[in-house]
Amino acid sequence: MEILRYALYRFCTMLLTLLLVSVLVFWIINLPPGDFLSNQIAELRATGQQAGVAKAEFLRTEYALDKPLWQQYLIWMGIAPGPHGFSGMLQGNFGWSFEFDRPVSEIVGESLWLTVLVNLAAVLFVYLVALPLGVLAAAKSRTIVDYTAAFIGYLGLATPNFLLALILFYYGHKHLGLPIGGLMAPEYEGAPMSWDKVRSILIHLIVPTFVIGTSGASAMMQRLRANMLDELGKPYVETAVAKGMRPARMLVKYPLRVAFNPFVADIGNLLPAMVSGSVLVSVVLGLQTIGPVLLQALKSQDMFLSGFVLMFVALLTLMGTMISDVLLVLLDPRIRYKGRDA
Amino acid sequence: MRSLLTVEDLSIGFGKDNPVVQNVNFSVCPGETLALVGESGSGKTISCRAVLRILPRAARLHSGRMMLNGPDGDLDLARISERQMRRDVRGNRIAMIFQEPMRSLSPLHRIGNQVAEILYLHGRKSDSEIKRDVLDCFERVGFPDPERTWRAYPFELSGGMRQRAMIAMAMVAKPDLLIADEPTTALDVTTQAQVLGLMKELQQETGMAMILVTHDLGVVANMAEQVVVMHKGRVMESGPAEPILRAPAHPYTQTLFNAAPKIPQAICPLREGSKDLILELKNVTKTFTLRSGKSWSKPTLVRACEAVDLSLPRGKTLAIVGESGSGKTTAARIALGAETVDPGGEILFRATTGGDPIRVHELDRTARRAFQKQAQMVFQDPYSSLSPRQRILDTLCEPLDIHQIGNRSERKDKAAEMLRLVGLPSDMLSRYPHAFSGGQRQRLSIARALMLDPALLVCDEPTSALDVSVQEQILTLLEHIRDARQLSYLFISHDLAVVARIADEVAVMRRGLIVEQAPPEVLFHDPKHPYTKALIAAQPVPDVDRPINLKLVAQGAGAPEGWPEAFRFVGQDAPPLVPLDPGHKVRCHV
Repeated sequence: MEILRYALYRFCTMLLTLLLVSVLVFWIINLPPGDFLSNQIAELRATGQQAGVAKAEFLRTEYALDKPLWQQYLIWMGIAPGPHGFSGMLQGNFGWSFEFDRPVSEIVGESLWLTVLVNLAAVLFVYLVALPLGVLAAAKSRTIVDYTAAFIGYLGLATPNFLLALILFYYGHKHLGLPIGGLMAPEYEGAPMSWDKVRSILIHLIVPTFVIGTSGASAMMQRLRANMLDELGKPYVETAVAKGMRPARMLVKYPLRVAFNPFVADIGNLLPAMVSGSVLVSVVLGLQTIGPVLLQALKSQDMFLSGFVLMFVALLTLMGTMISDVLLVLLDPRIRYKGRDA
Repeated sequence: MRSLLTVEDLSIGFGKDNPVVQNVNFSVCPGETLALVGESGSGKTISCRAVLRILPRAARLHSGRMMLNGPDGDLDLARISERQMRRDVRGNRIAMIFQEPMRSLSPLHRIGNQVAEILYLHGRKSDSEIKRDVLDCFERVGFPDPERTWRAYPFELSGGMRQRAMIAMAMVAKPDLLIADEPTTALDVTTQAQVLGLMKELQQETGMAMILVTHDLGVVANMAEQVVVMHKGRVMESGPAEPILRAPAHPYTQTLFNAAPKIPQAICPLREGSKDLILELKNVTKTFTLRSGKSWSKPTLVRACEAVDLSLPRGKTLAIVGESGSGKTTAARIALGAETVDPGGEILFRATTGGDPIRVHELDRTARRAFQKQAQMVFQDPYSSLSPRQRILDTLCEPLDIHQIGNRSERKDKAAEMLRLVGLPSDMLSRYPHAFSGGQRQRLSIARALMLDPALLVCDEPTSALDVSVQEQILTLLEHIRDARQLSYLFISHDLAVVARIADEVAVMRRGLIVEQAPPEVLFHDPKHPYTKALIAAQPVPDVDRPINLKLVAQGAGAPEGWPEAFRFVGQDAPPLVPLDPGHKVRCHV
């Protein structure tokens, strides 16, 4: 029960933090002088397109951009009524993208889920690769196994992701017939979910997962190796050996459990880093994720679109930290019983 | 009797260096205890680990036969396969207990899980049988509530209880041989006595053999039938315990004996109490608030010190003795102004005879700096109290730097002078701490404390991390410096024998209360309080005719409710500290 109460408590603090972040996000995207529309109006005036100006002026009042900033914020959040009543983030209306001339929800819709999918795949890849390799490198430290693992790891860290992407695409296509670019075959884009579409997405996921995950995996492997080496020197490991345990089982049951904590704590950082960190890769690989959208929106001061994407990243971060906090409490009795009399 | 384990010609080395263990022989019979005695670096730990082949990875077994005799034939532990070692020997026929019970159990697994694991690894019993065996074993080693222990995590148990859990883990598979590597070194002395007593009882019940690795001749005298004295990887002397302890033949064994501090025999006449006090603690109480994990429940209050009155005459040594959790270190920190006190307490410090007292409990920033020049501290652990990244010169000059005393060359001269004072050559100034041994580091630590020419040194267990022979040297050095420089010491220790040697006045603390206070000669030969008696009785002495009196220990180290009528109290309701004779105060009902 204790744990449920704690999870609830963390959830409430998360919502509060999210509210605070929304203020910050809104303030920051409004920091540069002018906004998308005023820039556009100036440009249209200069080229003498009066019709366009009228439309832009209309949009200005429509989205309350003529109001003071704090009112804009409240309307954007859906806390105060706008020109059309309560219609903001809280009500599920994410606003209008001026750059693409479509509602934000339409633009990000599918790419949102694809982003989550790609990143989940990459996170899974990181853990699946880094865990066994890190443990192996530590258990066989200063042997050929360790050096090979370290070599591959550094190779992964040092190779620029986009280069790796190009190489993998080329050879993947040549030898394995893997598709190049995109997250699904073109015919499924916008089509409803079907088994074929899922299959297509999975096949397309292989290279991106590998590319995005490699550097994360090698970094994590090196840290896990260092943590494990620290733990392996501790007396409780010796106790376990003196009991007559098999080395593999001993490694997993004792030192890995202890060395693993920092990696659970890492989940919070991993999620957002992958969204913003994989922009370049997404551009090169032609992935319909949210990264490139964010880049474009920020460049053109498309405030509602960038505001939404930033909020989404913030939500991912906060959820990641919440999950890792709750997991840590579950995993480590020392945290769970903090304050209980020893 | 046919021996259970015979080790012959054992040599172990690291890489191409000289072997750290050379041609070691020993053997142990069923039901018998063999003690491997030596100081750090003697190779005793490596030798006993070689039996289970759990050596550091760089270590190589150069030669040796380790015959383990059993009903179904003999095994040479040096030759059998790793698989057979794992399946038939480790945890099964030979179990091991390690030095640090805090760190030898996994912090993340329940005690029951860790203990039962041995039975899962080595037997084909059902879950319920295993659990019953483990619970029986918990009860046998002295856990009042075995079910609760089964579910507990190591951090929920005290040090003594964790070591009992380790013993349970070792005993649960009923091994033929138990190897205990300094099993009680990390424990308080009364706990040590009880754990040693338990090990002896278990041995008598099961008839197992025991190899006890220790540095403490007192423990040897209490436990062992056979002794092997090791020094620098070689056996110096070996044989039955009694003749060796009565009349050590080898010069090294004799050195060990002479270095072991002893509680003095003769009673000296009472000395006149001096009125020139350098430090006074008056009615000092310190309450810590333990915040509980749940924000809505009330925090627990812990009294680390309660109404402590102490006075330290100039040029003398006042010792506070107690076990962990007694509040002795808190008292020392309070004396240095490093800890605030509850309202009503006073700490007075007089730097010079007849000078105005500094009120340590209400210092402001500038006054604190001036006070810190007069009062310095020597820490317990010489390994972690010196920065590994600073040269000795920088470490020593830092206090002068902070207080802006002298210029560069003057500081350097002073540092060289202090090094000579503590018995180190002054050309060592440019070295880093890692180039020094434990004893040398403690000398450096003392030199650093002396750099500001303080009047008061607070020594917090300055010798407890050191070997006995080194401890002896450091104590001699401290005495020499005290007399040469007219220093006063507030000396914190858990070791009665050390205190007996250096102190002019001893205060025994238990759970924040001073229970008895007297000069050492009086305290050790006419102890009144049951707790003091327990502390003295628990101290293992290297004398086969004076075994630990477990009854005295159990009575005095227990809860105050179980003490004799005159001392008994319940809860916070302690009797006052009353002077029985001049200079001998005891907490009792009069």
